[in-house]
Amino acid sequence: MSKPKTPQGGPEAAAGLLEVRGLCRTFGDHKAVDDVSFTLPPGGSVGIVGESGSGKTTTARMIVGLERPDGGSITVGGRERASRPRNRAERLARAREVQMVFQDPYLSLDPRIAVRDCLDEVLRLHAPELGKPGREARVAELLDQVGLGAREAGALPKRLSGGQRQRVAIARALAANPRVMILDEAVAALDVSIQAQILELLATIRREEGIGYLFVSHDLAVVKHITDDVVVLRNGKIVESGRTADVLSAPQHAYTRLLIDSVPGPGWDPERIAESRRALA
Amino acid sequence: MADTTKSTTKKKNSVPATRAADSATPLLALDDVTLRLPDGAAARPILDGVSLRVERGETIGLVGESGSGKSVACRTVLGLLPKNARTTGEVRVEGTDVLTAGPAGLRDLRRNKVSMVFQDPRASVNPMRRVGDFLTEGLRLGGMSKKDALARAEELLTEVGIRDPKGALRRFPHEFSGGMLQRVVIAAALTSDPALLLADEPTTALDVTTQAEVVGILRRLQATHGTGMLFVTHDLELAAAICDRIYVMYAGRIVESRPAAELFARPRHPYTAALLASTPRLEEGAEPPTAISGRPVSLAEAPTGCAFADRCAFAVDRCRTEKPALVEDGTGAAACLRVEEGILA
Repeated sequence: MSKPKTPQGGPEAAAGLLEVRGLCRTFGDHKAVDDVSFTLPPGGSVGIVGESGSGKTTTARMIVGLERPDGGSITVGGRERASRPRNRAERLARAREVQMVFQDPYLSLDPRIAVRDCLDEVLRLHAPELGKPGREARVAELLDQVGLGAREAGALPKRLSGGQRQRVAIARALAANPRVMILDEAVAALDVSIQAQILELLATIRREEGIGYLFVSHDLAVVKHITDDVVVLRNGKIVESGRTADVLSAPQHAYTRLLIDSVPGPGWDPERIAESRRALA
Repeated sequence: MADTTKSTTKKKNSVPATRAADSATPLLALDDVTLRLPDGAAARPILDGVSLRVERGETIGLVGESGSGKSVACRTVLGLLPKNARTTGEVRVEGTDVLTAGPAGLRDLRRNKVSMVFQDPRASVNPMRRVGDFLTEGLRLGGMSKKDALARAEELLTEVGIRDPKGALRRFPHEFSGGMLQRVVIAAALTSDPALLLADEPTTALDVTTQAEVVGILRRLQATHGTGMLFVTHDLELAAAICDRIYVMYAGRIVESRPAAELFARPRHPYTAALLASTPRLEEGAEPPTAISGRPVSLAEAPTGCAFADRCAFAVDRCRTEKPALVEDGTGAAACLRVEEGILA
C-alpha cells in the first residue's frame, strides 16, 4: 500500500490526474466500498452515482482524506495519498491537491466566521507567501469568481441564502488552488433555479481553471450535464462505468437501467419500476 | 377566538349532512386565502390570495421553490398555521371552513377527513413507540377494540407493500429503512380512510427507485379508496408524471395553473417556463439547464408589482408597479401582465 512516491510530473501523472485502484473500506462486517477503481483525467469530470448506501460518499471521503481506506491506492499526480500523512507539510500538500464541497451549505460553514475571513483562513494556511495585501486581493478575486460581492464578503453565513452559501463553499475550495475538486451532492439541497446557476458556475470554473471534478450525486439528470465519465455504484461495487453519454443512452447493467427509468419524466411508470426493482433485489 | 369556537359548534352538527349530500361541493377549496405573519416578521404575506380546488379522486400538484408558500398553503388545510398568523379567505373541506373551526372541529377534520404525509418519515413517528402502537393510536381513540385496530393496521401494512406485516407491528421505527418507514407513515395516514390526503414532499428524502415505489403505492391506494390528493413538491417532472392538474406558486401567489400535460407543453407564465428550462433533463438530446438569474423573493422584500419581475426576461416597466391578476384562459390561468402578447410563443 505504501508505494514509493512518484515525483511530480512523472510518467504516471500523464495517465490520470486522480487514479483510484482497488479501493476498499469495511465498517464492522459491512463492506461499504468494495474494490472501486477509476481514473479522473486532468481537467476531466467524473460522476459517481448511486443510491444511499452505495458507498459513493465513503469513496469521496477516502479520496479527500477524511476516511482511511482498508486497501487500495489513491494517487493524485502520481503521489500516493491512501496512507496516513507523515507530517503537517504533507497533510497541507494533500489538502492543496484535493478539496471538497459538501451537500449542506447550512452545515459546512462556521456560523461565527464572516465570508471574507473564512476564505482568508484558507489562504493563510495554503498561500502564506501572499502576505496580507496579497490575500485581500485574492479573496476579492475568489468572491468575484463565484459571483459574490462586497456585501456578502462581510456577512455571516446566516445572512446568506443556500445558493450564496454554496458559492462561498466553492470559493473556499478554490482558495487552496486544488487540482481536484470533490463535489458531494453539492447542488442537491438547492432549488432548481439556483441549482442551474451553480451548475453553470461550476462549468465555467472548470473551463477556466482546468480543475478535475469528482461529482458525487444521486441525480442522473445533473450528472448528465456536468460530467464526461460516470461510475455507477451499488452496494459498494462498481456495476457499470464509461462515458456518461454512452452509459445513459445505452446502459449495459440492469441496475443502471432501473436508475434511469426511475427518474420521473414522460412515460414514467412507477408500477413497472417497482417490478424491475424487485427482480434485481 | 371565542366567536370562532361558537361557529364550529354550529357547523359540527351539520357535518354528516354536508358530507353525504352535496357532491357538487368541492372536496377541498381554498378561496382567496391570505396569510400574514405578525408585523415585523415578514414584509409580504406568506400566502397572497391563494385559491385552489381538489375534487374527489383527483391528484393536484402544488409546485414551487423554497419560500414560495406551497407547504404553508398545504398546512392551512389542517389548520396548522404559523404562530400568530392572521388569515383572510376561506379553506373549506367538504364545505366546512377550517380557518374558523374551533378545537373540536379541527379534531374531527384531522381525525376523520384529512391526513397528511410529511417529507421526513423519521421526524413524523415517535422513535420510542412500536409501529403497531403508532398505527392503532388513532383507531383506538376512535373507540375501536384493540384486536380490530391491530387487524386493520395489519391490513393497511399489507396494502402499502410491507412484507411480514404482523412482525412489522412489533418493530420500532429505527428497524425500518427510510422508504419502508414512509410506507408505514402512509399506512397511518390511511387508517382514518380520509377523503383527502395531503402529501408534502413525501418522496424528497427517498432514493429515486424508492420514490417510484412509494408514488406507485400512493397512486394505487388513491385509486382504490377514491381519495383526493394534494401533492406538494419542488420537482416539476415528478408533478407532471403523477398529477392531473398543477398549480405553480411563486412568492406566496399562484402564478399559473393548468392540466399537467398542458403546463409542460405550453407554459404561459414566464416563471413556469424558466423553471422548466432550469430543470436538468435526462432525455437524449436534452438542452443543458438554463439558470434563472437572481434569487427568489425573500420574506423581507415586498415587491409592488409582479414578484417575478426582477428575474424575468420579459419584464417591462409596468411589471414592476402593477400586480398581475390570475386570469383564466382556455385551459387554465396565468398571472402575467404580458400573457396576452404571446411572449413565450
